[in-house]
Amino acid sequence: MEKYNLALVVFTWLTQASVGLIILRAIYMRRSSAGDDKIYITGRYILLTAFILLVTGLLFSFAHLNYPRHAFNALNNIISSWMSREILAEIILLFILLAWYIINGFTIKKTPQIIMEILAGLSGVALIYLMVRTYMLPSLQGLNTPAFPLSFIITPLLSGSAIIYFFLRKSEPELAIKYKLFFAIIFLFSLINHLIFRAFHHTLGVFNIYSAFYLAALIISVPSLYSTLKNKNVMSDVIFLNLAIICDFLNRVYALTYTNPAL
Amino acid sequence: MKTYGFYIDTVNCSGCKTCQVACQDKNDLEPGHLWRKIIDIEGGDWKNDNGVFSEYPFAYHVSLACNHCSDPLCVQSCPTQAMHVTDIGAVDIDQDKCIGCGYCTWACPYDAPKLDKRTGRMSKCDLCYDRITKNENPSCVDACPMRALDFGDIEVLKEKYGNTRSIFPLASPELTKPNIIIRPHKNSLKASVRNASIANREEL
Repeated sequence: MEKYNLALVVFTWLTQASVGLIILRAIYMRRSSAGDDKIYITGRYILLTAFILLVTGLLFSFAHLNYPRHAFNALNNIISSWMSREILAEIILLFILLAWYIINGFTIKKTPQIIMEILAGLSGVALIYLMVRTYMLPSLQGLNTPAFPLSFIITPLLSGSAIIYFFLRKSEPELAIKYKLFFAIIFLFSLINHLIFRAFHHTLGVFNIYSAFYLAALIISVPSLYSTLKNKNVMSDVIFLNLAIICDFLNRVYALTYTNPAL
Repeated sequence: MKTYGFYIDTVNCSGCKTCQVACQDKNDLEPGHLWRKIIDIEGGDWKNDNGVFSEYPFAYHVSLACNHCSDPLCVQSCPTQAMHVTDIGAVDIDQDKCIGCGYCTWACPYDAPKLDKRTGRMSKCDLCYDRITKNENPSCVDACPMRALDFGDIEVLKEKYGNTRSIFPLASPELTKPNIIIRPHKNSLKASVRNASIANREEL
């Protein structure tokens, strides 16, 4: 894999983690049984995390430009380039999150929060759609599989639920368990997604670093889920979440390896 | 307006890479930086006829540069509009706009745009603009010792050589409508069922 593709892996992954956090935050705000103040503070931290992830992702996207001095030109071709549209959507989402965080600091009234929530959610979903279109070029046969758009749906949910789980693990364990179970289900989808990729690339039988990580995450998931259900905080818990996230990240590395030209 | 294109004779091409070197020399490209490249195709199979084995190996070469397509995916995809179609129908890169993101290379099914590591921006075949305005051929065409390359108005080339625009391993011409005419090697017709593959991938 070429160097600049790794920067893109990090960019897509962090951006999607940010979108996932925004969407899953909306569920937390409605399902939490903690006091209003507590929900407000946790919600604000989640929002800040989403913003930091998005900014970090954007900074990584600069790393794949070989001539970043002209970077502002990347918005020139909104009419026909999916990449220009993707960057525009990213910037719009960035400003929405920033505005939301500022509004959040001034008022806790529900109406402006809900408006910003809807705006951020919609632009986040639009951003993911535009990302899929950016990479699914007719010339890149290796990416033109159903696994590719699926991986762009799995990553936001997986990373989003993991981060929210870590926020709630100690303060609201009952809700945290639900996020953890959701995470475990999405992890299984990530595994299936990886297998679909492999099937399309005829590498199902090959054992490599991707297989090793997925296998390790699967094994550790058993004691981790058991301890979570028993309300215990053990090491396997943290190891499973980290391993599963690394697996999904590696799945993205695997997918974007196929951005290398066919010839 | 004329639309220029290349004619590639894969029957006569010996894969000597003189066109590739002539292009590098004319455009002062570094080693490994190829605007025109030779793709070596190798393949073959064997038959067992009552214990008598017959082998059918084959090889041919495709000399490929930018095809200056009529429907260029690189131009559509370029986020900066640096990739554009010039007044002579050539696809060219505006160096003042390019950000070197490499997205044009992904979009191009022929892998034509290449990163110039010296400038950090993309670069590609410009049809030897300075030569064709003096009514000379691009340097690759004039350098070919086998006369396997030709250049000119695509309509004239079509009348002269026919209208075949694809050969294994090139993408379907429907994708970008490339301005190339190909004389296909006889073994290219069954290439996909006779285990043909690109033999010099690391050079491309």
